Amino acid sequence: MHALVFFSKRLSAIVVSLAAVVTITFYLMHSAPGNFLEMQQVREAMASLDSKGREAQKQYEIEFQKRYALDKPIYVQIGIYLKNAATFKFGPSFTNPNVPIEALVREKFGTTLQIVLIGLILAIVAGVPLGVIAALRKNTVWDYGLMGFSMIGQVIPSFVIAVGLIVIFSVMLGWLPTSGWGQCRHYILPALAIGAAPIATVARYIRSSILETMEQDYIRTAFSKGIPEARVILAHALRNSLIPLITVMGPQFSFMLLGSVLVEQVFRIPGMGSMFVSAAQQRDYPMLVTSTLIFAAAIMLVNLVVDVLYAFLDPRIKLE
Amino acid sequence: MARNSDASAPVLDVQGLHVAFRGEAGLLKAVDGLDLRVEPGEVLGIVGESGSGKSVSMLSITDLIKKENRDTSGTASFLGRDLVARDLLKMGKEELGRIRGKDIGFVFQNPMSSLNPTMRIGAQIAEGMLHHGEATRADVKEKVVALLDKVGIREPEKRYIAYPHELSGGMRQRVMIAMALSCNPKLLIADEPTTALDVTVEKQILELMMKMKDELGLSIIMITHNLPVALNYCDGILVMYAGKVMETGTALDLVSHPGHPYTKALFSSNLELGRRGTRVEPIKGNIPALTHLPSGCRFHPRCPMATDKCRNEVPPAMQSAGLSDHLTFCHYPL
Amino acid sequence: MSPSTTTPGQGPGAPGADLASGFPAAGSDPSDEMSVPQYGGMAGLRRDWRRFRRNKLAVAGLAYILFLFFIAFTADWVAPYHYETTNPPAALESSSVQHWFGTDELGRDMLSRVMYSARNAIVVSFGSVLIGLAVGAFIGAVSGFYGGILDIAVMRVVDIMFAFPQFLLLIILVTAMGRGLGTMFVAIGITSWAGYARLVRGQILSAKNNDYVEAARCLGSGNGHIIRKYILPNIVGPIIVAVSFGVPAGMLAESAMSLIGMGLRPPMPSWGNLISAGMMQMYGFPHLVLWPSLTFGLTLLAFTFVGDGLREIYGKE
Repeated sequence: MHALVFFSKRLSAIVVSLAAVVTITFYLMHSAPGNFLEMQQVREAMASLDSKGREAQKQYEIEFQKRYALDKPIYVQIGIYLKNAATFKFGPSFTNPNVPIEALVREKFGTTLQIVLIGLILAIVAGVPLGVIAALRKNTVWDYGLMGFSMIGQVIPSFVIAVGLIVIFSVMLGWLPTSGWGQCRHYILPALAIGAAPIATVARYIRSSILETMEQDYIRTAFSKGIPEARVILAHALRNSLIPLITVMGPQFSFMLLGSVLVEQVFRIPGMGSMFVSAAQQRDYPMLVTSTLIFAAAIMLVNLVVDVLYAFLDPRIKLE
Repeated sequence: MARNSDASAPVLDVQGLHVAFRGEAGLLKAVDGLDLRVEPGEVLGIVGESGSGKSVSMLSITDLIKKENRDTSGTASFLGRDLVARDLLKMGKEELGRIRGKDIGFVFQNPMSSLNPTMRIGAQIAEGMLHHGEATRADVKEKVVALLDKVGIREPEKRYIAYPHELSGGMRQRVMIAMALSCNPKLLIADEPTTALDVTVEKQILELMMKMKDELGLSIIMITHNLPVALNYCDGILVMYAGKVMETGTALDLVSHPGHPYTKALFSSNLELGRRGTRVEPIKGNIPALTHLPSGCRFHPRCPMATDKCRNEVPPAMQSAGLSDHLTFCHYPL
Repeated sequence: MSPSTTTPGQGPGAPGADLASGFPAAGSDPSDEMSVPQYGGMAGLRRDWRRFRRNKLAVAGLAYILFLFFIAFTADWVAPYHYETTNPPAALESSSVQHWFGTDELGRDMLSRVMYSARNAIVVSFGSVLIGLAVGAFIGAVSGFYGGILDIAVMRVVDIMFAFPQFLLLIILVTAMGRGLGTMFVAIGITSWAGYARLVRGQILSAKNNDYVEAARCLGSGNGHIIRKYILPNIVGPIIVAVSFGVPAGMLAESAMSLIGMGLRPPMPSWGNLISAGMMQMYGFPHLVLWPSLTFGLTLLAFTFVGDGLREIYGKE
């Protein structure tokens, strides 16, 4: 019952926030100088239209306005948009009038999500063991080396890491492609670039968490039962460090999702990030608003899932 | 390694135990020359203020306290279930691991923080039993439930899958006891087992420990700063101060004629033991810093009867009232 | 420390003021009974500096940042070339005595362009922090101080700001406002004010609930006095820490925007657009991405070290 109340409360908060995000984006776009049509006109003008052509262009513009409800006041536009968004219908974009946005989103978001999920998995399968090693080898060269590296990994932005990876693995060693999409080898560098900071964050978190946990009374109890150190660390210390790790992963997910905007640019990956940037550059408002909405919704939902999972896994936490 | 089938051989025989920690402030001498013997079936109380070295000594011989910067010397001969006396201090990690939890059980002070908060009670008890081969996957649940029942936990089936935070403090300590006794140990080391509990619960827990002792033929080392508890439940008592033994004897001897001024001071500073009409006198001063221990008798700066001899010479063991097992480490025993 | 015995004119600073901020209330009477001694402004700074100095990484970071500042602001004189000076015959050279960092495809000196990038990064990041802090501190202070419906409304807006993915908002803002140096720091400032608002509001609320403040109010102190003596001293430390992390965040935002072609307009150099331009020629001339990446990375590391050092002194954000 509590969980249900919690869930509906959080969900309605998410819906309100998303509506606010959409509204802000709409107003900002409305106030932007230049619009899609103007930019298109410049291109058309280059083809030097005759009077007949100009008439057709005018007709086209009126139809365009009507089609995208641009002739209506902005709050009506927002209302229409939100109503359709509730059923996951976003209509066509300016640049691609024949395909509904939701179809594009499904494809592009899938691409982005693949990179982010690989990054997330990397963060855990690499970050956790690295953190355990650093904790076990506390105050040794191993520890200092690992922690130094993870400091750098946390601070250097993903797109700089991406460039570094390309220079090393593509330019110097020639092992992996610099760009392209579709094959396995295309995933490696982007996922590493986007996962570097999360790996580092997880490793640092696990290290400090294990060291802190090893000081706990219940660890002494575990040792007093005579069970071997490896089991104490894995079954008691690491286990209790892994549960709060979930709360660390929520922000890491947002970080990677937004980082994908840049990493996709560097590797020329046709994902959500690239779609967002080109929508902004081309003043393709329906596309821009929808991409923003999808990004924001993904982040909020993941945070909700993290909270629920945490409560589910830690018997002491109650949903409130 | 002598095979010792003599029934009266001590379960634990500690000789000349020294424990020191190398710290930034210098060498911290936590235990300085401790001798003690625990006979089969005996309850030995180690009494002292915090920082007297009572917990550190027991946790050091079982290697349950920080290893870095710790120097431990002396011998701690333990008579296991196989009736072979071995020196705990000479054991490697693995050998000690076979003794801890199996031959020696532990109950710690704070039952909330001493139980893993994210592990079910049953799993925590079962862990040691499975490891030491006291139970198999098939029968472990049954055995744990029986054990929970034995230590007085109602609805043991239900508690088996409970988490520590769902239980009261007294119940949690019962769980700790069940865990400590799960492998039928020879010795139970109880480190301030009731300090964190209410007075009413305290009595129940102590009674439970005594009952278990009788049933299982245990020896118990009870570490406590609570003098009345030690006097009520222990056979022998060892009074420690600043890492050194001040006095040792039977509980009865200590009450009837305490030999050391410190023991006497402990009696008169205790509210519960004070008789009507006698003044409760707090012991003046503070326990010394373990990095800067006083010369001679450790207690001399706070002793009302200290002389130059006390300041300069470490007192030898003196027999009190002609009893060979009542020793007082004082130049001027009372 | 009983509040009733101190007159409002010479009451002790808010608790922990000397620990938390290093800017204790001015004019606090040293004869006050204080468990922790209070220091004057200069002495407090000197003591903080002594603590800061113990952290070697932070000192190294600070030295690097000071060096970068020096280079950035004297770039017009110390840079070997102007960032726009082209020299096609010397295009795409790698490091040499004339061009330490080599040259780009138009023969422009990379060292000079990296130096000017540092200047732009500093201008944008400090400008954005200034705007974000001014807006955020004002809103947070008013909201925290007056409370009530105003506070609830403001916090709702802050929540929405936090819900809006910052980097996306930045892109949308720049789309709406047009590219350029000015837009850059205004837009970054707008996306970052909410954090400062939350920080300032929190500090004001905790000061408001403080016994000293209540006592001072009972004794007739005005709002201005309370702000000056109790709130400001407590808030400076956390703000210093927040700013020390806000500046590199601003640099990162600027470079990221320039990387995707929405930041500074070329030929104005930015680490971000140098990197994205260099990527076109990465195979033959990796030095084009190497130097800006290296300088940018080092700068961020240096700021992190300094920020960590400050956080040790002034406590958690």
